[in-house]
Amino acid sequence: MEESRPFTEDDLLAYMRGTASADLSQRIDAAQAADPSLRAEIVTMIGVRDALRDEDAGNPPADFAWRKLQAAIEKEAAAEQRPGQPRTGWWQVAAVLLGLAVLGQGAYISTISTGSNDPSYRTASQSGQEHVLAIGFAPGTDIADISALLRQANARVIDGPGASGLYRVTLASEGDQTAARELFEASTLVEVVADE
Amino acid sequence: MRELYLAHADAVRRFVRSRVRDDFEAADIVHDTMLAVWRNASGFQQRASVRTWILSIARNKTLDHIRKQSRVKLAEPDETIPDDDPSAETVIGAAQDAARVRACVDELSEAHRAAVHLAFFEDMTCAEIAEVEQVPAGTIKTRIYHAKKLIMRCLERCIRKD
Repeated sequence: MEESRPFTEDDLLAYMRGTASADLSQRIDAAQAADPSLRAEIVTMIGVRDALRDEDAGNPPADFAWRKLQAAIEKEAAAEQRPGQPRTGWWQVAAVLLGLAVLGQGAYISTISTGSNDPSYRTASQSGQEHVLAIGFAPGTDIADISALLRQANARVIDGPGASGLYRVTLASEGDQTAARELFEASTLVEVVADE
Repeated sequence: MRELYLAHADAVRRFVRSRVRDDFEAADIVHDTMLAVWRNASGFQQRASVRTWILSIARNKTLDHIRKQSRVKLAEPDETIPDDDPSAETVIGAAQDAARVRACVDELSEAHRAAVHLAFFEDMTCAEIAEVEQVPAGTIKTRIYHAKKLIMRCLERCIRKD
């Protein structure tokens, strides 16, 4: 079948899409000028593509269906949390109190050591609003390139790859988050960027 | 998840519609597909693109749906095509008529229709389609080649009937 033909299916598809190299395009142009059945095949391919595009026009935007999915996800997430919610035992309360005591002591020591009223520490509860982005990298992206891009954006990976290969990264401030989002959106290495 | 949904849901819907004729059934399958994407996100391997991975889930959901409905027999598509080529001149004329072309695409088996849709509409390579359809790339090349021949023969037949 195709083995005996001068062009592969991918060659013809690239030609139809206008993404074939100049050399390949010239060869296919010449071949179809000499071979009516090849010309008919290519005209059919273009006809099918155009007919499918016409058929798809006027479909509702995906945003409508998203709301239904969002509701289902929230319902499922809530249902998953309920049976798994641990009961708070006395030992857990004790552990939390002990942790708070250690934190308080550490904070006090740190304040003394700087000799200032503005402590050099920051507890987890003081970290304020999180500045997190979800990023999906293009397939085959080198880990070294990913690391360089994240360094450039001052982003730190906190999770991932999770949802569909998405990484979650944290930024120090809202300004850094905005700048990082712009950097990622402009990068060819990144397929998806989303605020979290 | 919203960004991911908005980026891929249309492609999933079109792909599902290439195999399932009913818009409402297709919408349900898209919903199930994207819910499965959310559930299985941690299992995503980056050897495939996100789009290929999501479409392969859509393919499985669609085939499950078709099997449950038992309306379409999911046999391997018949790849035997008569040797004689349809008249090039007739086909070139008929291929300009979108309604006629759509009718001929509708006559294809669901496996042929899916391959044609992914190749001609979603601009995927044979290797990418093979990942979605979970068959060797050679099988996809054969399906596309035979689908084209079947469409051309159908177009010629339509013209002769008229």
